[in-house]
Amino acid sequence: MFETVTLSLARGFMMTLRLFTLTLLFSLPLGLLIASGVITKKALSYPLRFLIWIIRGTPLMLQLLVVYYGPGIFLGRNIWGMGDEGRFIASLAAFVINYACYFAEIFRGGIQSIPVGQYEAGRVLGLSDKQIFRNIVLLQVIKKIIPPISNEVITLVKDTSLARVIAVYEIIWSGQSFIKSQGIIWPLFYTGIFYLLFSGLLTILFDRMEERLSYFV
Amino acid sequence: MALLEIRKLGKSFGDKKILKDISFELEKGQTLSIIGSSGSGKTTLLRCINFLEKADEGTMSLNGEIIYDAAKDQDFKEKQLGLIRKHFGLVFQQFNLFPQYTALENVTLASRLQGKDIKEKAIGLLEQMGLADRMDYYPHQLSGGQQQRVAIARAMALDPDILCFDEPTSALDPLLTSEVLRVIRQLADKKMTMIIVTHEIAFARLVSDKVIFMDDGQIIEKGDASLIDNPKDERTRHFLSSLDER
Ligand SMILES: Nc1ncnc2c1ncn2[C@@H]1O[C@H](COP(=O)(O)OP(=O)(O)O)[C@@H](O)[C@H]1O
Ligand SMILES: [Mg+2]
Repeated sequence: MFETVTLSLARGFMMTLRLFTLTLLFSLPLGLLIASGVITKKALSYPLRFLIWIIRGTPLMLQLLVVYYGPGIFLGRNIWGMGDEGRFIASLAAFVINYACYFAEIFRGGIQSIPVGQYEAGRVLGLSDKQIFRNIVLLQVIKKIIPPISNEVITLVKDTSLARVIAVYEIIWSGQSFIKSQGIIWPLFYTGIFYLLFSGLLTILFDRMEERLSYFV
Repeated sequence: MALLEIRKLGKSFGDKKILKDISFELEKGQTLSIIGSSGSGKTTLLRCINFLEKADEGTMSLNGEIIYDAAKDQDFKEKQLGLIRKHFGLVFQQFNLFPQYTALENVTLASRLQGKDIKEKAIGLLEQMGLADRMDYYPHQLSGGQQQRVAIARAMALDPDILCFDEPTSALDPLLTSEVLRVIRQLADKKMTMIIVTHEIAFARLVSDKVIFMDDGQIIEKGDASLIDNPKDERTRHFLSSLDER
């Protein structure tokens, strides 16, 4: 029994991992794009701030439902494709938008926390804006944002479980299914171990990164 | 011919006029001190000279050649500003060292990005600043006085024609102040052309070939170092005596 449950949960966890990895892959660059839009393009800054307000001001669960059912209701057709894959893509879209907005705020805060004196020192040394960003600002920003980014990433591990509201078969779903089929609840509790192991691994990774940048302040 | 000639420089922020009719000359090898109360526009003047701000009136000439004319050059882009900035160096009140680089890397960074290896020269400069044993330290491992000396070496590494200092010791306690002033004095002895904004009157008297007193965005008096002991303008006298009281 234990083996069957473990295998089943592992399959669910693969889906969790897939959602997690793809969300990060797309939301980090998108977040950087949004942040630079907010910082540098005045015309873009207002609509982007509006978007960030909407996304951060509503539950992710609601966003999942709106992203999945919205097109069907408002456009009259399901743009996400059929079956499991369609639901997965819809949930990925919702997660990417949501996390990009949170990351954007972290990037913006990080970039704006760099004292203007750093830019000016670069300028009087004859560096171009690009050189200043790459060689002076970037590493300082990365150091500043690692802690809040690691928070978000670890939250994302657990947030993936929300995808089951649109029937994405992630690990909680797998665990729950044993209640219905076998009348046992421990598989659901057992899922916690998977989360703990994975978030533990991520914590070690982020601690290492922090450690590597601890040589300056 | 003067190395630097500033004529009728003016600068406003919004409708507030911060610099008015600033004119002076500086010969090669001379040290000019700019003295004046807080808010009189000294920093703004240095920032205009280093093109961190663009003056909106007047001209700047180097060796008789106009490098900036506010009447037509205000639309200069970063690229052009970068080119004329090469003539100047600026040492900031707050040092502004790059925290992720060692002292030596701070000095070599700009040249390295231009594809030049100046390690030997940078080491020489840091030695000259009395930092031979601190080259591989990161800024946060250095005292304020040491950080400022690294900043001076960093500016010197690019061989500016004119090196500017904006209250280089204002963020330092007296002991650290004296070690920074000592290296600036060495530069003066070596005939580095310098513009120094400072409240250190005794130091200004010692190193300056020229002195300018500023008040409310204007030059109210200029002359040689003896002016410090015999100011003519009432405002200068008042300002100097307020410094004595400290
Ligand atoms: N970027 C700016 N925008 C608006 N006002 C400024 C700016 N920079 C300086 N000022 C004003 O210009 C005046 C002169 O400032 P500053 O040049 O820093 O004087 P100082 O260095 O002699 O103390 C002050 O009144 C200051 O408030
Ligand atoms: Mg000032």
